[in-house]
Amino acid sequence: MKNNKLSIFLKGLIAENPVLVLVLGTCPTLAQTSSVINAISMGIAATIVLICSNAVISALRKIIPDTVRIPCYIVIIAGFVTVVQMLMHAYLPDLYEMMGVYLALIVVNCIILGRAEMFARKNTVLDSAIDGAGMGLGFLLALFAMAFIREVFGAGTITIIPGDPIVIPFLSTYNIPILTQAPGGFLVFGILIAIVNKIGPKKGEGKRKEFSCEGCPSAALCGKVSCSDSIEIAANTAEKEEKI
Amino acid sequence: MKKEAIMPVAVLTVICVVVAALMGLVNSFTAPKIDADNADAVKKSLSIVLPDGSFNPEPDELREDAPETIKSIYTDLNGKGWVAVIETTGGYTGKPIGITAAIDTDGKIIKTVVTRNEESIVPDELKPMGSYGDHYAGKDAYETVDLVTGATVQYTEAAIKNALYDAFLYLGFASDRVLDGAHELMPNVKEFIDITPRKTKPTVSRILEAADGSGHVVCAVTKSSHSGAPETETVIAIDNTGTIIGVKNILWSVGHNLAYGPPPPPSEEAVDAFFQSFVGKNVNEINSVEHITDATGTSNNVKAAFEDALRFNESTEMHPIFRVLGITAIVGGLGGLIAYLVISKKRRTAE
Repeated sequence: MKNNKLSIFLKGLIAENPVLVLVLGTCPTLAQTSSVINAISMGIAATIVLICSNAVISALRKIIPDTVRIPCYIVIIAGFVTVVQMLMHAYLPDLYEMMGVYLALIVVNCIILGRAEMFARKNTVLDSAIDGAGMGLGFLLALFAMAFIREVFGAGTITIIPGDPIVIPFLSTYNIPILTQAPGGFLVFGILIAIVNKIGPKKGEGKRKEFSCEGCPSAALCGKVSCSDSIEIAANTAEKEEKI
Repeated sequence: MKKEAIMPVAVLTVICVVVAALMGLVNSFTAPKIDADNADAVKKSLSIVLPDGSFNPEPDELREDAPETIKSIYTDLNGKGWVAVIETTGGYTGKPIGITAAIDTDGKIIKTVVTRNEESIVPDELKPMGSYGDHYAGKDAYETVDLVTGATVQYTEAAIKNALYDAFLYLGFASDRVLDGAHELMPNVKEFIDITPRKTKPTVSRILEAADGSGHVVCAVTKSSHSGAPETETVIAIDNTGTIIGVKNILWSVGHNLAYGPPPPPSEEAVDAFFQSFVGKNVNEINSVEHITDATGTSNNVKAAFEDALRFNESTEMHPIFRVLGITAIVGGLGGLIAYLVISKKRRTAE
C-alpha cells in the first residue's frame, strides 16, 4: 500500500510530468518562467489548489451527479483559486503583483481539471491528495527548470527575492536575451520535452499494442502517452455496459 | 424521475453556496489587511511625491462636486501645494489604478507615483512605484505623456491621464473642457444652462442649452468596448434646425497596438478633418461622412455617437412596443415551460 501511495506521488514527477510529458498547463509554463521566483510562486499556488481541489472532489465523488460534474469541479477549483488569491494579496502582496492575471488563470489550468476528471473522481481522498501533490510538485519542478534556464542564460540573473535579482558574473554580460522572450521560451520548452521523453521511462508502447487508443475517450487528454488510465476507464465502461 | 431532475441542481446549488461561504470567510479576514496595506502604500506615497511635505493625519474634506476618481486630497502645511490620491476608472480591465500626485501652487505636477495596478498587462514602468510617474514632473493639466506602446497599455495610460485631469479640475488648474468648447463654438452665447437629464444615452455625456435660445451644445462620447474608458469626446454645437454648426474634439484616445503592424494610427490632421466634416450635417446626413482611413470601426462609433447627440431631445425611455414584446416573450416562455412540465407529468402518469 505504501508502494502504491509512493508510486502515485512519484508518477507526477517524471513519468507523467504534467508539463513535460502530458503537455498540460502550457500557458502558465511559458508565461511565468521568465524568472525563477515567478515560477516557484506559480508552482506552489497551483500545487495548493491541486491538492485541495483533488481532495474535495474525491470526497464528494459519490455525491456529485455525472450530469453536473464539470460545473461542480469548476466551482470548487475556482473557489480554492480565489481563496489562494485573497491570501496572497493579503500576506504576500509582492508575489501577488508579480503573478498578476496568471494567478486567477489557475482556474482554467488543464492540469487541475484534468486530474480531477482522470483521478480524483475515481479514487480515495488520500490517494487524490497524494496525486495532487505529486502532479503539483512535477509542475513546480518543470517550471523551475524552465525558469532557471531562461533567467540564468537569458538574463544572467537569478531572482529568489521579488525585485532583488542576483547578478551572475560573466552570464550577466554574455547572455542569450531571446531566452527570456516568447520564442526562447518555446525553444527551451521543446528541448526539455525532448530530453524528458528520451531519458524518461518508456510510455507504454507494449500496452498500446494490446489496447488501441482508437475510440478511447481519454486519448486526447493524455496525449496517447500512457494507456494505464485509459485501460481502467475502458474496463469501467465495459463493466457499466454489462450491467445495463 | 423527479429526483434525477432535481438532484443535480440541488447538489450544484449547495456546492456553490458552500464555496461562496468559504470565500466570504476568507475575505472577512483578508479584506481588512488588504485595505490596511493599500492605506499604508498611500501614506508612503505622500512622502515619495512630496518629500519635504507636511500633512494633517487626515485628508481634507472633499467637496460635493469631487469627481469619483478623487479619493482624497492632502494640503501641504508648508504651502507647497497639494497631494491628490486618485483611482482611475476605465483602463483595459476596468480595475482601478491607484495614483498619488503632488501638484504645486502653479498647477504643475511635482511628482506622480503609481501605488496600485491590477491590470492584466503591467509594464515595468507602470508597476507600483515604477518610473512612469517621473515623466509627469513639471507637466500641467493639458500636457500629456505617451510612453508605452500597445493597445492594452494605451487604455491604461488614457485612464491615468483622465484621472490626473480630474485632479487638476478639482484643484482649479483645469477648466471644464465641454463648457470651454461650447463657448468656443458659440462665441456669441454668454451663458449655457446644463440640461443634462438624469438618464442619458451612453454616447451623450452632457447637454447644454444656450441661454439666448440659439441652440444647444452636446458632448458626444465613444467608449472602449473592453473597459468602458472614454476613447473620444467631442463637443458639438447644434442650431435650432438640428444642423451641426461647430465641432470640437477634446479627447482622442483610441488604442492602437503597434505589435499588430501597419497601419499606424491616423494623423492629427486626418482626425481633425474627419470631425470638421460633420459641420453642416443634420441627423439624416451623418452616415454620408467619410470615415478615417484605417479607422473604420472608430469612425462608425463616432458617427453613431453624433447621431445620438443630434437626437438629444428624444426620450431615452424604451419604446412601448418593445415593452410589450418583452413582456410577451417572458410570459410566453414561462407559459411554455409550465405547459411542458404539465404535459410531461401527464405522460409519465399515463405510462
